[in-house]
Amino acid sequence: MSTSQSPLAGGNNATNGDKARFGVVTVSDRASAGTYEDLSGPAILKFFDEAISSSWEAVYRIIPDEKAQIEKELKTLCDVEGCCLVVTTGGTGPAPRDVTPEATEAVCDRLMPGYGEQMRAISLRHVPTAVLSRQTAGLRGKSLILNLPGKPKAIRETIDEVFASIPYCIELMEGPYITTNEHVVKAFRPGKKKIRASPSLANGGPTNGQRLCTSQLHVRRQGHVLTLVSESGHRQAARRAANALRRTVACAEVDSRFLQTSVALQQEAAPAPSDHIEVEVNGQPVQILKGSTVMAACDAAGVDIPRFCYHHRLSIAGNCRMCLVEVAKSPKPVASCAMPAAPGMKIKTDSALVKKAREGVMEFLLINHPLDCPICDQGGECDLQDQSMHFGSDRGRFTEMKRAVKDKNLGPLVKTVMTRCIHCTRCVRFASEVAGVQDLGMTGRGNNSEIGTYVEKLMTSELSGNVIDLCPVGALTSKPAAFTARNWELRSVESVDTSDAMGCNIRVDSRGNEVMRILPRLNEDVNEEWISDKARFQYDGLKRQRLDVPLVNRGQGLERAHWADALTAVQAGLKGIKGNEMRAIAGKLADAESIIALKDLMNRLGCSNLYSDAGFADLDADVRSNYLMNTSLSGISQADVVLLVGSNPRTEAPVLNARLRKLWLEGGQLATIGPDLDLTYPHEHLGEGAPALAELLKTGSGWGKKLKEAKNPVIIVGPGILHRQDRGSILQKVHEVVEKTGVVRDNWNGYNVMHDSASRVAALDLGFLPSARSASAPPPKFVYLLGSDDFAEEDVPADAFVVYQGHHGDRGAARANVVLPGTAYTEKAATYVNFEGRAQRTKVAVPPLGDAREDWTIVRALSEVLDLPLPYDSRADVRARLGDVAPHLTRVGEWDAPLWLNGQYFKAFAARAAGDKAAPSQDPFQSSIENFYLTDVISRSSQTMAKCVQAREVMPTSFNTSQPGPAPSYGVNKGGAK
Amino acid sequence: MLRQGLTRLAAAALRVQEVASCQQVQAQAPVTWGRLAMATNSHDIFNVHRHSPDNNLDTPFDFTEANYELVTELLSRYPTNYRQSAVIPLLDMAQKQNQGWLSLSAMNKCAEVLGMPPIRVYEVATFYTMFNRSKIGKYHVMVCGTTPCMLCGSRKIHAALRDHLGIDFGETTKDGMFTLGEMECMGACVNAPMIAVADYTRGVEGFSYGYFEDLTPQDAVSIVEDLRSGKSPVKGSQYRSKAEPAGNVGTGKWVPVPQNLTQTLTFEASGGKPPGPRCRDLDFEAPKDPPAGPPNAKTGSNKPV
Repeated sequence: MSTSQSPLAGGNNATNGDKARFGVVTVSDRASAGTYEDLSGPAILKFFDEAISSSWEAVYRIIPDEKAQIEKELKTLCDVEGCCLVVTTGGTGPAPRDVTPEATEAVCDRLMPGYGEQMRAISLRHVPTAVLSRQTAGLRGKSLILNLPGKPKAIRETIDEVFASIPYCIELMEGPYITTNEHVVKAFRPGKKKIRASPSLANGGPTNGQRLCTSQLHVRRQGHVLTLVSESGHRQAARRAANALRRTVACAEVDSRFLQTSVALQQEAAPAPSDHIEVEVNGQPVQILKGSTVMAACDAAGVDIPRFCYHHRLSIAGNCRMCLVEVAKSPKPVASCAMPAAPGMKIKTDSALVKKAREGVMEFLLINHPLDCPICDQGGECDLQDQSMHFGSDRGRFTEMKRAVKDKNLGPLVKTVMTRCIHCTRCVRFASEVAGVQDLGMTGRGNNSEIGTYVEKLMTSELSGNVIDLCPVGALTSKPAAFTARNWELRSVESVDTSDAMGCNIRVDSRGNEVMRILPRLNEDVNEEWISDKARFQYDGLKRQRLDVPLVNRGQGLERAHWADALTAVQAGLKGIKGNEMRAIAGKLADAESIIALKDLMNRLGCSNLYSDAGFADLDADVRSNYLMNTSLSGISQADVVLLVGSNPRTEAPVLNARLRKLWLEGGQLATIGPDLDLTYPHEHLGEGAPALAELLKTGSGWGKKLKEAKNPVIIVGPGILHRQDRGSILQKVHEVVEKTGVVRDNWNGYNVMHDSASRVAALDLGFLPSARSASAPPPKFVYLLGSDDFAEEDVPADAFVVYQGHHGDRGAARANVVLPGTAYTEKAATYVNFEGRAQRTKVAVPPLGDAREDWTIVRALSEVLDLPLPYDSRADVRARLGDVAPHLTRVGEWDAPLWLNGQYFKAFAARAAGDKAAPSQDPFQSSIENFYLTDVISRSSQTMAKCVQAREVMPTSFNTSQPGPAPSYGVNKGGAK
Repeated sequence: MLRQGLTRLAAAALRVQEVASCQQVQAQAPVTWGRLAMATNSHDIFNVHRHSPDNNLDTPFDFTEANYELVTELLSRYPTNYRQSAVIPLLDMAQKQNQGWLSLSAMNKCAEVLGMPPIRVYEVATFYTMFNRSKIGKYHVMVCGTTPCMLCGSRKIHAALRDHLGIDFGETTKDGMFTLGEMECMGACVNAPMIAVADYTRGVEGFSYGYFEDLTPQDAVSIVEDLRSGKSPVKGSQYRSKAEPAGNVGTGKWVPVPQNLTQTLTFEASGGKPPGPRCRDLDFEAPKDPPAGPPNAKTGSNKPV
């Protein structure tokens, strides 16, 4: 026996899945007696060695032509040895001792005569005596038994062809997954469906409920749950796919940014639409949109590509080289983020070449990267750290000095440790493309290049904090959060921002009772993945100036009190005051639940003097389309002509401003009426005030014509207009422009009203407005301030009894007779409605402070003391009440296009205004926000925000002047508490 | 192994010291940085700007009337929507006008003229080592240090200039006449070693960038002395007309090749006849005698020693 030459095991050990075991049985009297050397068995083993690439081992037996012995041996190999394939050789002729087929038939449960027929057909092509052979095949349990001819030559002739179907046969029997060397024998596996990425997603856009796909398996990611769904139903396939998945998703779980670019897939056998091309990723055909990159193809195939510089919202730089893949016929590895996919391209992402290339890139990146992970704030959520776990080495070959780069001062928000920088230029591209400030650049070259501003200056964007999220390493981190927490200590809660009226989706990270940081959350319909610096960094204001116990002023200034005393004090203050003499004012941060509770209570007290401290009271809330952003945020992205009236979106809603900038980048045209501002994108300045509006009514030329001829025109009325005394006549002018230029047309509503405070839309939705007769109400003797700190002096007379309910000691609390401590947006589960009318909810990230209570429960408790109990006892009850008043407030996260009612509202407005002939004043329009960093009680209490204001006074904001101070036409001035 | 390691350690320590000292000094006063300029071959060490008395946002710079005409002409060479493409020629012109270096205000002026953000101009100016971002001597003397020049004695040239001027690479003489720099290959290897001198004394119009080739250390010294005294030293090779094989300065002085050795050795070895293989018409039987070779090129040096 030549076992030394015929291997008993083979294949690539690294192959995943179970090792295949084969049985080889030579049935021959003479060979078993040792009369001659068996050549047939070794021939079969040699075939296995050449043909099978996956891992296998074999059991080799030589036995005489005895039926009982053959049966016994076959049973042992199938049942005990666990062979998935047993091949016999010899004993298939017509001679009396030839009994192999009989023994095979005896041990098999089911016969597979096709193999016998195929083998005889093959042999007949070579020798006529092939007809004498009686080979057969059959199944015993999960094993396939196959008779082969006796002669080595005949064995190779037949098995070369027959073996093509065997791997699939074994797979169907739930055996191991066998792969073959295709130059020897090509294993045939039918029925592999083609995968096509849906067109909208082939570009790399993520969706909710993403699905990663391997050949047989889908992974759905909803929230933090990964669900495995096997489509084929095969246990083996599912197990194999799960293995593959564990490899590919491992990094995705570490960093959610990976998954955001994983693309949703749908499995379809449909032919490719003409705008699609087919490429092959790791042997799997994928259909992608024409013009997609190789990386998009890999994403569509569910293959994760490591990356540093690529970001789907930024332009392609192609300078980190981490995303190298192998493309057939390309002499070098290819940077997949920058290479367009061509039809029929064969992409390999798991080859040795790719691994080596990526390891090389990683080694280069680590040459100059400091080994300071233990003191790096990015540690634990660092792309470089994660990917070095896959591609990094445990030692370096570089023995020179690491370079060191001086840290840059970009202002009080972004901390830099420039030695850690890997020059991905994401921050540079974000600043110049999304934020629209040309502050950052890469100076120097080669080993000496560094990211910075060249001349020390402030990064003058309201979105600057986003570069912290974009930075794949610890070069840019949060300055206020430096060295305060490790990311794995933090508890995350998905919430909504209230620093402006846009309702950006955020994630609040807390440790214990403290909010440690705030990050943006992906929502394509609202904030994409950006938030403003105020939303991100004002959280330290939640720790200062807080009201944590009820306070009562008994003539000695505010003193601590128990809840019961405080509520009784309110009751006492109300004594003898008629409903008409009361007033309630809702503040900028009031949530829908407390607004409805307060409204119900005041109505029960007979009071309908309900105001918002956002100034104006006479806005008609009967028709929602009158006060909402009717186009919706995602709709605005389709606009081509945009007119801003009395608005500075850069301060009123910086993330919306980024959207408008994107619009301009895509060819949109923008114009403003109001102050001439640097909005980070070029726009036409049509005038300062009302006369420019009148000019627009001439639709024959200029912007009037432009709006009329635009496909999707948009007019945005800023909150600055709504704060003016002459808003009625200005709004009427705007209405005229809207009607004359047809900004509202079939399937397109381009009339938008923008607000600047988070509570405003909910208050309007819930009818928290003064009634008609409140205009004739006497000066109030009792004022209830629901978190209102920006009330007008005349609304709160000096002799009035004032109750302040809120979370910060500011102007309102200072004026109050009784202070009832409420909760901030991170401490309650509350509903807010953004300026497009989308109801969203915050969640409790940290518990209320001290004796503070959730706001609606305070009003509820007061109603009990006043003996006018409100009919809700739980949060669910309040929300049911919200749903009664405004059903959309319970459809959280959804956006319904507001009804336009054929412009009836405009007509009613015009009719009302007809009595009031006052012409609009000639005063120039102004934005409602004087200082972006100080707008409400939280930001006013924040030291970080104060530093931002200060930085603009002491650091240069421009490259061209050594004088520190406000950026050109930025509009930040000193003080300005409003 | 140990020795190697120690040497490496010592070198590393030295470098740390250098960086540290440069950062210290840098905060105090503008000085020259010596060999620290290794990395960029430039005397600009830092790729960030720090205000100094002679280089800050208030340093005046504007193109002259005459140069504005040149600017207009330059811009006319580019499509109007690609004005920014003119950034390199414009910076070059600003540098020539500004005595050989680009102040921050000079870069800002270019940005203003081109309508591009200043940071994009800084990126370009810091990338190219021929843009000087700190004050420089009237003559920027650059010694080629690449292999052919080094083999032919560029280190001696460097040493001679260093000793004569009292400055090393990256430094400027006290009288503000010369800045010494090291350059990579400037393509005059045949006449190695060589220096290039950028002459910033005469503004944009009179700017010259002269190569001085086939230098002995004495030649290099006499060239800078000529420049100092306002003379115009001979440009190009100091010993031959162009790049013909006439001799070399590898030994530190000009050694002419004997007249009869100006031909290639193989030519001599084949008895004064051009050696084969030669082009011939393969369709014909080659004649027994080779055809006459080309006439001998008679060359000689224009400056015999």
